[in-house]
Amino acid sequence: MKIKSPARDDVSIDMGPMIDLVFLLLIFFMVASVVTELEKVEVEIPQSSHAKVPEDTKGRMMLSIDSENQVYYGTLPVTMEELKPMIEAELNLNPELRILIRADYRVEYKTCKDLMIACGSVGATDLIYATFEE
Amino acid sequence: MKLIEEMMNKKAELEIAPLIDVVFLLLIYFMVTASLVKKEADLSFMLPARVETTEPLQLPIEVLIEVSEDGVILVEGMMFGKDEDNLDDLIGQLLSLKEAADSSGSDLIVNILPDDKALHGRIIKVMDACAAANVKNMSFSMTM
Repeated sequence: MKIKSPARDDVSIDMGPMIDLVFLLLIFFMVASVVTELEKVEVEIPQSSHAKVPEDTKGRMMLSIDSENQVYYGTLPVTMEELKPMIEAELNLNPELRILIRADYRVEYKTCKDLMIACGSVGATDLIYATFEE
Repeated sequence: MKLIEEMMNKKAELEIAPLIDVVFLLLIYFMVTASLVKKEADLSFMLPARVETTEPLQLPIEVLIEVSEDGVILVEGMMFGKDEDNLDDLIGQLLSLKEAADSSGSDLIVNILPDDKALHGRIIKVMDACAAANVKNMSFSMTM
């Protein structure tokens, strides 16, 4: 009986699927790195060792303060007076609103205080300071 | 003449090996940068306005922490944090206060009163010390 021996020529690795996979991974990491940098003002927020990384970040309003004491709503520069109606509008939509403050470590307390007073005056009392995990 | 003929006969094949090399390099680059992005963590607190007052059985123990312009921390007049980065003494003090409050069955309320010119980084250090000492009620004070 004649047994068909496997063809010797076909032992080279098939590159096609591997390239497909690598491309998919590449696209995934490119998109992931772009998404994480979106919609954030570049500020050097302080480090802390006992802060908790949140699991649920829904229902948050992000405010940033840069080292020049400029306040941003998302990425939009605003003044305190402009900010109050914005917080009020968000608070009407979601009474459980939490306000995340991303302040630069060089910001003077006065700006933070004014911001906290602005939040308090429209009834938003649940505040969070963002820090980097040490 | 022979050389030209040979070149013409050669099949135009796409080299995929360099392509894969480049794609791998890009892949590694994006993987590394993605993992280098630091995660942001939370230090949350309530403004005093809405802290619910549920008829306390015991009077809560209130502590006022002042932060001066140059970063010196005063707890009820006692100075802490002379060493810039090490707040272990403050954490120890808060822990013993917390223990005292727990043993008497009352809450520990920490109020932070920073100077207008105190830096945010320093205030976060104080809040971090509160978190380390497991202080649940922490807020900012408005008046002297």
